[in-house]
Amino acid sequence: MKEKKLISLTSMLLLLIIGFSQTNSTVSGYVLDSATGEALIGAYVYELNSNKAATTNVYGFYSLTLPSDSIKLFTSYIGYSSQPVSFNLVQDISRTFDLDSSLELSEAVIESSQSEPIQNRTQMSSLELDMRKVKSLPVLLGETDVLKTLQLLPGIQSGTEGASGIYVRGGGPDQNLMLLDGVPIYNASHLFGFFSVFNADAIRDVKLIKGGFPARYGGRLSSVIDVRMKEGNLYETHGEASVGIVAAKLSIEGPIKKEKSSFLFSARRTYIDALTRPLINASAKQSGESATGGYYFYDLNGKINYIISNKDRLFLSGYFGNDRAFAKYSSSFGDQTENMKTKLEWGNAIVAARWNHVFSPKLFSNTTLTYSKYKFLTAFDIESGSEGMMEEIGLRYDSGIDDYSIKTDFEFIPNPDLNLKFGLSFVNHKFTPGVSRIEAEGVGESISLSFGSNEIRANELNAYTEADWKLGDRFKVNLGVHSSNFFVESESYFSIQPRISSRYLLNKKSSIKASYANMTQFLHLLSNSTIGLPTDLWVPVTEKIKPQTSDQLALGYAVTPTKGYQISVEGYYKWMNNLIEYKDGASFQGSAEDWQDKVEVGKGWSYGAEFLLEKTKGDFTGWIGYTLSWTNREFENINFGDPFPYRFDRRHDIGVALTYEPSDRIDYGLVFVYGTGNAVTLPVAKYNGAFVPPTISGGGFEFQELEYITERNGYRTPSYHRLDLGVNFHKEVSWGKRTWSLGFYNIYSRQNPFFLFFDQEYNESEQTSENVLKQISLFPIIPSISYAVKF
Amino acid sequence: MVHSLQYLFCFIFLILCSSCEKIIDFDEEESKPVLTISGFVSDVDLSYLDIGSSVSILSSDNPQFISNATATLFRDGEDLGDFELTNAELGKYIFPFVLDEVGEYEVQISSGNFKEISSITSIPSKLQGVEAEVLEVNSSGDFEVRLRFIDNPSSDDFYHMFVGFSSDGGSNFLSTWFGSNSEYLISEEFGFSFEGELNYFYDRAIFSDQLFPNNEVVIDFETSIPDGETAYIQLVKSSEEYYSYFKSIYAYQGSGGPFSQPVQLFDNVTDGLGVFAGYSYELIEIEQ
Repeated sequence: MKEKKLISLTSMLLLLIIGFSQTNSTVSGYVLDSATGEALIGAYVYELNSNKAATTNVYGFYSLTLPSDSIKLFTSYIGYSSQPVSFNLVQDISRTFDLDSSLELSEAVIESSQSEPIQNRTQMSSLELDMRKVKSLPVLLGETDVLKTLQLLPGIQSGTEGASGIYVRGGGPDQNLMLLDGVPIYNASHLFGFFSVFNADAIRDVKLIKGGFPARYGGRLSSVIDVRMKEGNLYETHGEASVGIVAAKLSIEGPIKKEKSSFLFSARRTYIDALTRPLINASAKQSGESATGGYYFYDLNGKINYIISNKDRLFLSGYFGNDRAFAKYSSSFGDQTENMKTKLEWGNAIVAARWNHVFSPKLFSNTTLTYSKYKFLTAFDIESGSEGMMEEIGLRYDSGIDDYSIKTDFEFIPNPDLNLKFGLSFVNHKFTPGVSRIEAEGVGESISLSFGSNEIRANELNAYTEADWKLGDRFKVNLGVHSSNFFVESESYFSIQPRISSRYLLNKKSSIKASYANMTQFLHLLSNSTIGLPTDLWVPVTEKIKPQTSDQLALGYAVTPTKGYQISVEGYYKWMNNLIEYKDGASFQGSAEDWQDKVEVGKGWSYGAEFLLEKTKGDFTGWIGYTLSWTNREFENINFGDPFPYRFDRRHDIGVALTYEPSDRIDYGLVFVYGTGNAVTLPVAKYNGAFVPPTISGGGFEFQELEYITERNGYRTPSYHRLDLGVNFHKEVSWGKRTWSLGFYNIYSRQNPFFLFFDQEYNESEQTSENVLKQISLFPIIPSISYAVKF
Repeated sequence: MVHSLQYLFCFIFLILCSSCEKIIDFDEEESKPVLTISGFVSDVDLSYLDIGSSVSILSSDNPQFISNATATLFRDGEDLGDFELTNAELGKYIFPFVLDEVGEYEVQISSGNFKEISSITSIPSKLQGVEAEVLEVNSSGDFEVRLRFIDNPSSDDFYHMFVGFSSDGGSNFLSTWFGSNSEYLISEEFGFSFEGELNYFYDRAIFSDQLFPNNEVVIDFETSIPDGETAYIQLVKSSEEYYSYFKSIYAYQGSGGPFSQPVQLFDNVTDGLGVFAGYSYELIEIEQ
């Protein structure tokens, strides 16, 4: 019976495709920014007579098959527009649209000028960032950060103060697939999570999906953050540079061969080390020692874009980023010397080569070869003794991932009502989950030991197919299936992940949406911390540790009540299985055990409602987001098997981001956030408890004062809230444009909790001390200033 | 320019460091003082309790032992009598005779104004078929030893294994290291291994019979025995409460680093805190 239905459905689909193909012609091509020649992602191509429309893909390609007749095409994109173009469509043609962000349109055109309205989209639980808005909003220390801006949207939570890690609909930070030009980035944090690796000057487009995942995405449970780098200006050479409190940036883009190929190069480096090093040196000299130390991070982004022909394009892109904290110290006493050096390093390197090929006006393909590497290293070396009698001890700890992948994606657009995507990918992973080495060399003796988790190699094969299908005037559905096969050690894990998203138009302005997504994830992140520390270990599934899986249901309502406003309300329920968590007392350090012996496997679930009001047009734009949610975890051997709140279970989460641009010379930004306090584990009592078994002599240590914890994550930190304000002053000058940015993070200096601890407080007047609970806060009011130029 | 940035950075750093710590309220409702016990019942040794009281985590006082408590022991609902105070300073109470039956034991304790507490455990059945033999003495003088015993397939059993030596027939047993690649031991988390070598146990291994594929258990291990000493294996068969408590205690002992997960200590005392657990054991001489 099921087979018959499937055959009927397939036949209908084929008839629809063939029937349509025989009587129509196709207009296809690219939608580009007229100033730079860069592709515009998600631009709307609309035929005014038939009311048929297409949207450009991530490479700016569109295809619209229409009855062979006189047509009137209109193309638009947020902040861009074009005049309608009329012509007779009698055969398949290729047509590229150049959109101008400064074009003044007639009222009639403006009325029909918009991107695809929110209520029309099948994709729900999806958010897109306008990079101009990202740059207008005030941020910590003036460092624009896309991840911090995403945290202001409903369903997306920050972890702790200032950190750029994100937690989507109750998922962990490992459950976010962060793609930079389609390549996964494993650790997107700089400076222990306070900044992300995404340099805003090199980024063109950011999209986040938190539910109703299209089948083309796989490998993570909670979100996809698809970040696309700029392609480089095809017409003119331009640049941007800025100097802020902690970092300086430079970006240059331009044609290699005009209108044929372009490049982009962007660099960012912090100079905290350059500023602090003289202070450390001076301090050490005063005590007769020699010392230096510091911390810096840098990012390098590069891209080359080459248009071979109307049908073929090549892209080569790369990202290299590194964080390094280091210290050196030397002292001597008589003939004895001691030299110590330590360092902590982590970073990502990714390279991608892409080839776009248009097989026919209706069939587009993209083939990508990628390499992604993440490494973490900590080393400590000490050398002591006298000349000829030196002893050396070195400790190293390494972990990391290396991925090589190849994937091919196809997009087939037989008619405006059907868009088919299908593809294949293969990934080779090499995991080094954590190896420690001790090397010691002394007089006549040497030791070299390594222990910890062994290197693990794995292969992953993915295939998907999805259809975005409009059935009638009101109903549209995105049906798909993603299948994965993960081969690790002698185990193979296979999964079929069905996905469906649909929308039903209630009227022209509103629709209801529903989605279901089944996801499988073959990687886990072992994390002890609440901030994005590089010590968090990426580990694969093994024979013992199974893949994480999730099922998510979402129901939503989207409406455009009036021009320039949009509202969405969504409810969701997500079940997650095979989550891992460190066992009680375990950590990544201090033990030679295999990581698999340090973890518990359990489940989690999250549910809630999200509300988003956006104003997208006018001088005054922005959004207000609110999330009401519950998130729990359950592990057999944690919290005695009882469910407990996830540490970022946040009942209420509010994010407000507003910008006001009264003129081209000035714009203001405001950010307000409020969140229920994080769930933390604190002891409540102390008592004397048996510390050694009764059959063994305790040598006087039979008892110990023990701290008693009632419940895992049973205590709530105070709530988190802050207000940030910023202003940007722009001025056109002869060589370009300059901008002064002034910002205040946490303007009312709220002492938000970073972590809690018990301490003794001494009362001088009464000469007594008492135990108290203390809160450490990181950032009071932080002013920032930066200067940027565009040329 | 560089100097200006240095001053600016120092200014921001000073702001960052200022007022970053403050005292916050802590809800103490959960931490009112209650009676606490560390109690063990056994069919080999005299059963005992250490009774005390807890204090709030914010209290400046230390938790105290209690010497005026009344503790009554029940077996399968039958009143067996009271524990007797033997050390007031350590709040130690001993049951006057060795318990000779397996079964479910309950203790009820009251003291002054504290709420009465109670707890239940069991003494497991005796170990069966325990044997130990030296397989060989290797080139470095370490002994390779095989331990065998029979696990009861019809019950959930828990074990605690020590290796040590004694010069007085086992009365003073000093535990020592042992190393093993036995799957029963390495599946637990208290081992320590270097790549390609044995898993070393500082002096103990704790495991449950869920690891055993069948009821005849064989554990091979290495240990060293000082000259002139007699080596022993102390094999404890315990209640689940004993196993859960000492697993949590070992995790507690190993925690404390900045990145360690918190440890919730096992507690099976109604209206109080602590542990009441049963065990049985055998001391097996390793015949050299």
